[in-house]
Order: sequence, then C-alpha cells, then structure tokens
Amino acid sequence: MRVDIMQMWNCFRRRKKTASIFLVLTVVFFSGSVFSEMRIWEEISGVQVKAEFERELFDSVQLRRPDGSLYSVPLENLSAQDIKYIRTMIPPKIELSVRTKKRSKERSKNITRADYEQFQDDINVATASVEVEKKSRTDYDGNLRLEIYLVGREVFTPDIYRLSGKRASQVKFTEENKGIYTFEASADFRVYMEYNYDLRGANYEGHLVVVVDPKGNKLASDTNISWLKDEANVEALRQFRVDQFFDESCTKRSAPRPRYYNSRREF
Amino acid sequence: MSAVKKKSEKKQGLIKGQSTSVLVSIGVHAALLIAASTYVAVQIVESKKAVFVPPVPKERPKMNLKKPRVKMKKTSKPRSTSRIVSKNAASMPDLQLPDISSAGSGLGGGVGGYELVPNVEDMSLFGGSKSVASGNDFVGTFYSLQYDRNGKNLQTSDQEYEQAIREFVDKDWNPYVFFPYYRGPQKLYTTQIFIPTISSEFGPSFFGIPAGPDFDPIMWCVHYKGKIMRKDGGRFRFWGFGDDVLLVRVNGEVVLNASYVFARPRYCPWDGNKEDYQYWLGHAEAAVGNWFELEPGVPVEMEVLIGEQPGGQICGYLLVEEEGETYFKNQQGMPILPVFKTAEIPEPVKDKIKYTLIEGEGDLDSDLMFNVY
Repeated sequence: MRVDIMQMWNCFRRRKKTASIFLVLTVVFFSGSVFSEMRIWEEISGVQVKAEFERELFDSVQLRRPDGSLYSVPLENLSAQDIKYIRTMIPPKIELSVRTKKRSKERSKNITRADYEQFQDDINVATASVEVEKKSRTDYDGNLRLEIYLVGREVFTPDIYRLSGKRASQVKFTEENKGIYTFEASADFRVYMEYNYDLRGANYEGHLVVVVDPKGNKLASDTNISWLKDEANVEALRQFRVDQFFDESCTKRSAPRPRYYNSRREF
Repeated sequence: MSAVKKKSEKKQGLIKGQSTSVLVSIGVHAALLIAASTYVAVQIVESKKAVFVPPVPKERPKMNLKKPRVKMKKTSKPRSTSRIVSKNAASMPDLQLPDISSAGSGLGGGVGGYELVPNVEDMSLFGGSKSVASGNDFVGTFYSLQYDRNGKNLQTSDQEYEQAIREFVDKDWNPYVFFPYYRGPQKLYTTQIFIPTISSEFGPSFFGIPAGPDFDPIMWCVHYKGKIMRKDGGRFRFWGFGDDVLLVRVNGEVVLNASYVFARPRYCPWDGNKEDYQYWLGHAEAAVGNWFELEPGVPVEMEVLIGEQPGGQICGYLLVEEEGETYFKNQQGMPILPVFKTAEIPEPVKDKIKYTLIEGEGDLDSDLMFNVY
C-alpha cells in the first residue's frame, strides 16, 4: 500500500511538473503570437489540425499545435476558408520607411512688406512621407491603419513640445500599388517675434509613425525622437489632439503664455 | 329440473354468456369515457381559439407638449456665394477662388466620414465651421474690401476702407454696404469674441481663404451677429481693444468703439470714456465702453465688427464688466475681467487664446455668460 502511495505521489509530481512547463510555454507562445488564435485548420485533402498561426515561411505556413509542436503546410494545400482567414485576420509582415523634408512656406504679400521685415517671422512646412511595404507573400484584405504625428519644440520654453500635426489613413495593398502604400502628412512650424518682443513658436522636432491592425495592436512604428521610443509615451501621444502641449514624458502641459513685460510700446 | 332451469335462467340476458349488470356497467363506463374525451377535445379547441385581450389601458393625464423654444441652427455648410462669384473663373487673375473643401483636415484625412458633432479641434480663434452651441452662436461673415465680388483687386486705400466702415455704421449696420466686396465662402460660428494678437494673414484663412501670396490680407473685416441674454438681467459694459477695428452694438446702439486710437473716430463717432487707455491689452491700450442694461430673461441682438486695415497684427479683445461686481487686479492694476462669451470655451480654443494672451488680461473661466438657450 505504501509503495503504491509513493508511486502515485511520484506520478502526480511528474504530471504537475509537466503541467507547469506546459503553462509557461503556452504563455510565452501566446505572447509571441498575439494576432492568432487556436482554431481548426483544414487542408484540401481533408486533413484537419488544431493549431494557431505561427508564421509564413516562403510558400508555406507554419502552425503551432497546442502541444507546442510546429506543423508546416504549403499555402496551396490550405482550404479556401483558411486562406481567407489568413488574408483578413493575420496582419502581414510590413516594412516602414519614413522620409521627412522641410520647406519654407510662401507667405502673403503683406508679411513680406518692408515695414514688417524687422520682425522675425518664418514658417517652415515639415512633411513626413511614409511607405508601408507588405513583405508577406500572401495577399492581405484586412484594414491596417497608418498614423503620422509631427512634433514641434517650443522656442521660448524648450522643455515643452507641441503636437503640430497628425493624420491617419487606411492602408491598402493592391495590385496597382504593388503592395506599397504611400501616405504623407504636413504641418506648419512658425517661429516669430511676439508682441512682447520674445521669440516664440515651435521648430520641427521630429515624427512618430505607427501602423496598427484592426484590433489596435501596433504592428510597426518609426520615430526619430528618442523619448518616443518608450511605448507608454507613444500611447499617450496618440491620444493628444493637434496643438496639445506636453513634455518629454508625454504629460500634458498648459499652453505657454507670453511673458508680461514692463516697457510696452506701440508694436 | 329446477337446477337446469336455474342454470338456463342464469345464462339468459342481453348478451348471452354475460350478466346484465356487467354489461350495463360497461355501457356506463363507455359513455363516461366518451363524454370525458369529448369534453377535453372541446376544451382544447376552445383554448386554441382564445384571443389575447390586452389589459384595459390605465388612465394617464394628457401631457401638454409645448413647442420647443430652441431653434436648431442648420449645420450644413453655408451656401456657396454664387451671387458674388464669377462664373468664368478665368477672368479673375487677382484672386484664386478658394475651394471650401480645403478648409480643415484633422485626423481622419483619407478615411472620410460624416461628422455629427463638430470637431472642436478644428475651431479657430474666430470660430468653427459648424455650430457647437445651437442658438447661442455668433455667426461671423468675412468681407475683404480689397477685392470686389469677382475677386478683382481694388487696391483699396486707407481712406476708402475707413469710409466703407463708416457707411456700414451709419446705415444701421446693414451688411448690404459690403455687397460690392468679396465675401468669404465660409461663415464661422463662435460663442466667444476674444481674439488675442495674431498675424493678420491668419484671419482670412479661417474663413476659407487660403493664406499665401495670392491673397493680400489687408482691408478686411468680420461681422458677427448673435443674441445675448441674462436670466437675472443686469448692467454691463465692455472693455476691449481692436487692431484695427472693434465695434460693438447691443440692441441697436453702439456701446463700444475700441478701435485703434488713430482711426477710432473715423470708423464710428464716439465720445470715449475717462477710463480709456489706462491699461494694456495685448500690444496697445484698452478702451472702455458705455453701460447698457439687459432686462431679465429678454434676449437682445448684439453685433460685433472686427477689422484689419493696413495688415500686420489683428486682434479683437472683448471683455465685459458687470456693475457692482469686484474683480481681482492684474500686474497693471487692471481688473481681470471675464472674456465675453455665450457658452464655455472649448479647451482647444482656450489653449489657442492662452498662447498669445498675457496672464491676467482676461478671465477665460468666469461664470459670466450671455447665453439665450
């Protein structure tokens, strides 16, 4: 009896250990494949397998079974329903490329009159041009969303930034664009002399570009601002409206006010 | 013999071989069964035929529905100014007619959609393209006296501009005076009249005229019209400063001429007040208006004319003082007066105002509002 109990206990311990390992693996794998779900896949031959999408590899699809093992299926062998699932529910691999340029804005005749040339007043237009290229071989019919944010840095109060422009678009990969979707956003950055003779306004600081899937999961991002590489800052910035002021931790700040000055004179 | 007889008597009855009582019993039971079955069948049929009879409605008192007082402003875009726009665009070398659809492009560009609620992010210091507070809006119309209705540059002189403004005032603020001139395609809706000092080139762009080398942002004005009311009535006066034109009329009477001091009397006859020019608002001194009274709960019409003459800077600071109230003082010793408004100022607009407003030169968060609805 005693021996039987010990055997039973050892068996239980082994099973518990196995269950723990399984749980850890499951968590890791789930975290690694947040876009897919466990489902029944069916090949055109009728073979079915319960698995979740792992990755696309050349002309095949790798699926991960509940036990963790990988199962590889050529794309052409998958059922039409599975192909449709991949094309709409599994976001493709994409590559982002961002180019920015600045140009001086053409002003009205009035602002270039000699009377006012003594006062500095320049507007630069910054434009971020984005290319989203689909790298997966499978077509994608779902909706990805591309967001572009343009950030300025205050001249008089350099610890304050401003969201000067933002724009969004649905990403479409079509035969016409050959899997490369382009989009751009522009914003004005004006630096001028305020009526209190302080230099105010904002210079272009940089951009943030984000691509999200239909569920709002971030697929890719690009920025040339170091403190925008922080995920929390990115999420905070995405909620800001245009002309929102904030600091490097993406905490909202009040609009900077002009200084009071004692010796006022006619402008 | 008698036993046989008895035996034969026993066998006689309705059915041979059965006693009469048994047969009668069977008959009675059969009859009962048939009757019962019939009854059940009838009940079933009757229940199928049952019709729902709704409960008798409860007596409810009649509600006297009054016609709502609120008039919904049309949120559709204003009519294109076909009466002043030339059909032949090629004959207008001086002004590129603005495309109304080019006004405003926030997040969502390229996606499209139908806005049921105005986007406050798109609101400017001069107002927004849609009403945000139906019935309490002031509607602003832009006129450029530099161009005629067809967009031809008139090269308007300072004197001609001042005469046109004066004619508008003398003819009871009739906008028909501006009929010969170019009218902006986009009316704006606002619930506050408070424009801190900004470059004059940005004014026209909010009314649908793109800023740029094709449009000279001088010799223009904006005419705002709306209604004001105070539930409890009261006595009020405006303080303000306009570069170059700021005129306010309440119930048909000019109560403030806070235009630039050099041209003030040329725009509108005005006696001035002893408190004039004691304090600075923005980049020049403030003027003080005449007291006016509002009867409790009675809406009255109010109009504001803001204008820019030679270019440079534009502003239209409009503050309001209530008689009998005490106010904190700012660094200059000027009372920190409420900004004129008919509704709470949206946060994005507040930020735009604050960015160019020295602290203490206007209270954006005061409870004083002149809403009718």
